Amino acid sequence: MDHPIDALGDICPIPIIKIEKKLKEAGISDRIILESDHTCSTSSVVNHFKKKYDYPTEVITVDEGIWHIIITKTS
Amino acid sequence: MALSAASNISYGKTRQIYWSLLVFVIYILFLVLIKNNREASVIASFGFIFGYILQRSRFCFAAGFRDIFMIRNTALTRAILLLLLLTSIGFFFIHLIRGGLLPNNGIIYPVGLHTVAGGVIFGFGLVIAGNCVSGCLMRMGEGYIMQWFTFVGLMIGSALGAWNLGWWGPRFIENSPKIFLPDTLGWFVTLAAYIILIIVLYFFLFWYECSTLKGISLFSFRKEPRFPPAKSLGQMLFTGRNWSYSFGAVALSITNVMTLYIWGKPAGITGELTHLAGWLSCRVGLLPSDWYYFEKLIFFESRRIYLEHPLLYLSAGIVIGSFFASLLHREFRVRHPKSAKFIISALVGGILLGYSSRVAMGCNFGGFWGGISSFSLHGWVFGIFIFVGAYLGGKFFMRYLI
Repeated sequence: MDHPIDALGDICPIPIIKIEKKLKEAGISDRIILESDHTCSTSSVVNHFKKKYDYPTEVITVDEGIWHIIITKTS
Repeated sequence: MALSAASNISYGKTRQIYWSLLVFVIYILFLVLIKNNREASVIASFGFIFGYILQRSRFCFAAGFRDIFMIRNTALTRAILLLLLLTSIGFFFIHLIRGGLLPNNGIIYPVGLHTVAGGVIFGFGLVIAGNCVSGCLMRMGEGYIMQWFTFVGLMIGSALGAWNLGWWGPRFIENSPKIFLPDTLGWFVTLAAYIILIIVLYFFLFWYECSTLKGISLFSFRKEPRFPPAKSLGQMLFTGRNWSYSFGAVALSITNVMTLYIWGKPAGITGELTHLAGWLSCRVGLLPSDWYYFEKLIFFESRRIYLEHPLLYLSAGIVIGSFFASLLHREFRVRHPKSAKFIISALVGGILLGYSSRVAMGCNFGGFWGGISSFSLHGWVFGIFIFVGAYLGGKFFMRYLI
């Protein structure tokens, strides 16, 4: 199941806190899709979730200055 | 809930790359125009480089102070430690090469209760505003509406601080000593202490971050992912990939060391912003020349008034450098804040940042980074109390802004 999160216009570190909340609800192999226009997220979110939880994390550029960050919950 | 943005717009329709070239050409023309003022053109170039590096590496001092409490992540705090270590060593060598540049050309200010108070307010302000002073300029260039409000707040706060220093000055600043560590401890002890302290802190943070996880020891910890991995330095510099924080730290420290070498002083931001705020205050009919800062303390920073402050070119350069970098990588966008309360928090945060950086006599750029790297005690005290303020700000943020 995919869990979308709308983080357009959110300031740091709200995107990360939103994802952490959503990850608790999500089941194994669910995907969290964060839509963000915050340039820092492309570094900080990936850094945080890849390192802290070792979840596969992917950044897709969907428009100029907008990214989808996809995190798969593996454990 | 649907994710809207992907559906209608096809990526890469607009021509941001051409705009970036235009910005670059205009900037070069501007540098040629001011070439008679060598100081200004040198500083404007460094500002542009600072802005470019900050944008590409997403190097955020605010996150370094805040994330450790709010999300238990220390990646940026450790990058800041790396930055401090490299810049200090760099400054030391420039000091040797140029024959005794420090302490006179460093950023060494009195350390006392005002530094403590300034640090706490600064830390609180940076969490509320969502950025520090350099981050504010960098994001202005990236098109964040919020940071333009922070900038307005910075102007108001700097003016307030410059005026209100009349209270702080005689009570604290004038009675406080300027402490240049090598004068007290000697060069060898200072350098050794810097290297040992920073390395110990680095591993302590590493250990702390590991301890928030289950089943991961210090030694099984992964390296920071650089996604997708760049194959060469050139690829990392000029393609759309984010620079790693550590690479950003290295690049920033080299730039600041070069600034000290070529211009003769480390870079700073709020000093010139206060000069700008003073100039604006004149325009609205106030008399900043009577304010304590412009009457007395100004001699700590420069002997120039208002718009003559050379570092104004640095601030402008950071905004334009970041604007250029985000256009070049097709990341520029006018970014609206999600809710109106963020605009208020940006404005209030900006005022706190501006005010506190006057009280503490520097911001994260000059006071903290430049101060510590110039081996001044006030940088360390300021930095420690920014953490205290960021902790309090984090509590406030979680309670009222989420």
